Amino acid sequence: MVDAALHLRDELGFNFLSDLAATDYLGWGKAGVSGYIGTPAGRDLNEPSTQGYQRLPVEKPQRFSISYHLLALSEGAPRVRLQVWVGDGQSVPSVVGVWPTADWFEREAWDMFGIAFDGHPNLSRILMDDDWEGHPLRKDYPIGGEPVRFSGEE
Amino acid sequence: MAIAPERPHIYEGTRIPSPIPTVLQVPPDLRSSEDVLRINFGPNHPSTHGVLRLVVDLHGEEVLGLAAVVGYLHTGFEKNMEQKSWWKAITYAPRIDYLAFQNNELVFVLAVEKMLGLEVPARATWMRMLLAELNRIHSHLVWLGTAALELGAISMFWYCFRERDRILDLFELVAGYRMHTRYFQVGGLAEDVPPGFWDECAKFVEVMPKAIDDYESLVNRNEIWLERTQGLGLLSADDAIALGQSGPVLRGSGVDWDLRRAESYLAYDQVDFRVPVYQEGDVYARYRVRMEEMRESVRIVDQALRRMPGGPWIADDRKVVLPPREELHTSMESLIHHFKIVTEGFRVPEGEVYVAVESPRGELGCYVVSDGGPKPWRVKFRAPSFVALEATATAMSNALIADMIAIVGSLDTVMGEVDR
Repeated sequence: MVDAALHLRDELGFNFLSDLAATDYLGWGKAGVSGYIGTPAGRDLNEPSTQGYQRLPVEKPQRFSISYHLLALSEGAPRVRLQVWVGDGQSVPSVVGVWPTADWFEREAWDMFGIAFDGHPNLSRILMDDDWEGHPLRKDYPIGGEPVRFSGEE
Repeated sequence: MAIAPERPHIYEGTRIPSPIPTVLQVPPDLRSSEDVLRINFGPNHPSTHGVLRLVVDLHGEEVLGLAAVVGYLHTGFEKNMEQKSWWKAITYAPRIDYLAFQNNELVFVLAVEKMLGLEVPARATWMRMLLAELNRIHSHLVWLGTAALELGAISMFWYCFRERDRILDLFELVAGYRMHTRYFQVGGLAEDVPPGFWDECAKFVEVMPKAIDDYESLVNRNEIWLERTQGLGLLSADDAIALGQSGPVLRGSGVDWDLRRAESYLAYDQVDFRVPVYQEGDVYARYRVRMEEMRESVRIVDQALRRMPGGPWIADDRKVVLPPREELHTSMESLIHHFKIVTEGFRVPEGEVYVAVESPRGELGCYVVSDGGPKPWRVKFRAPSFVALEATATAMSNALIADMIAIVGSLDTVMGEVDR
């Protein structure tokens, strides 16, 4: 993984890490998808737009994905998405040594999704409190579930 | 176009601290010294632009160690957007960065449109560009006013906010709200531009260059301003790229890079503008870049005003765009479409997309994943302020405590965007 990152940076010139985005695919495709049919080029206006379950989204190999959006600061602004698939509890090698800007991005992914990055020099929570329990952007993290303090009832 | 030179090892010849690139650590020989004082700067401090906390190790007035702590303004925008249908989620986007609201709206709307493969009418594209540039001026004015205020120049604050108010009036005229306009709709604009807008905007275009002259005459050769900005907060081009800096911070470090030109979205390839670049990489260079960007933005607004195309202001795709109000009384089909979009929301084909625009603070990216349903599966904003704060440790090495204010100010961070 780090070798691939170094290759992208040094051989192919992707010297700028734009973004590192983790995604949780827990429950992906369980609900079924209705509506019109999308094509890679966008919407196909000739397809009838029907309601009701039509097809399920393509299954994902693991629960989490991490997308590294790379940019080369050169003519034409080429971009590349490097995607890594991670299961629950697994970890990924850190790319802080390759792109230092990954430092906070990886901390954010750890904070929000609980994905550990091996070799990160300072993997701690960044947006939530240090003693926070759970990882808020996981799909199984409830919304509005946190206890309210100082509610007036003792 | 500048291309960063090859660098075999990231830590060779750079000022980025090691091993943690975002934390400046006290040198080992001074760690046990009693002369080193650790203080908390913020989170509630008037010159931290919100709620930024800096843990600073001071040796006298010298900053030896520094760690930025963020997260005090975390409101879970991304989680919230997953719970809303696509068109309701647009409302959240502007609130993320409360100074560059229209750029935030724009990037989210562009991402959704890219997934839908939706064609946007020319009038909407040009109007978006015009508003995005007004918004850039607005954001830079707030930056200039507050940054100067922090260095003691209170009059700048009043002058900048005078022009800022004119821009907010324009936003109010066009969208009904001064801030967080939510004027960009998937497919185009939420409403047509009201007729009175063009004259008012043309007046503003006339006034603004003179106002910028005023600002420059106030500070450009002001001894105090120069003393407190020149040679401070140094960031080399290599370090800036390695730290993912973008926007005025990157251009102030001598990297000729602007997404408006490099990746030309909207109609930026059809207007004439210059990308200011300064080599010094200090606070003053960032100030100069922003000042010149304001001038260029005025030029873009002027061109957009003159060349604003007519025609529809929103795409004519009834599966995505609300039908015109008057049709609801006569057309059953329109009524059904209206009902479906309002209650359930339109659906976006399965896929994932990353779209980036040049916001006033730099590369503002939006990564969106859809499972084909009426709600986003995942929305992630690449916030330029978040990345800019990663550079504090590098820019702050060898700084004095008083310079810290100028340096943090020069990175132009908006804490709402940092913490999201």
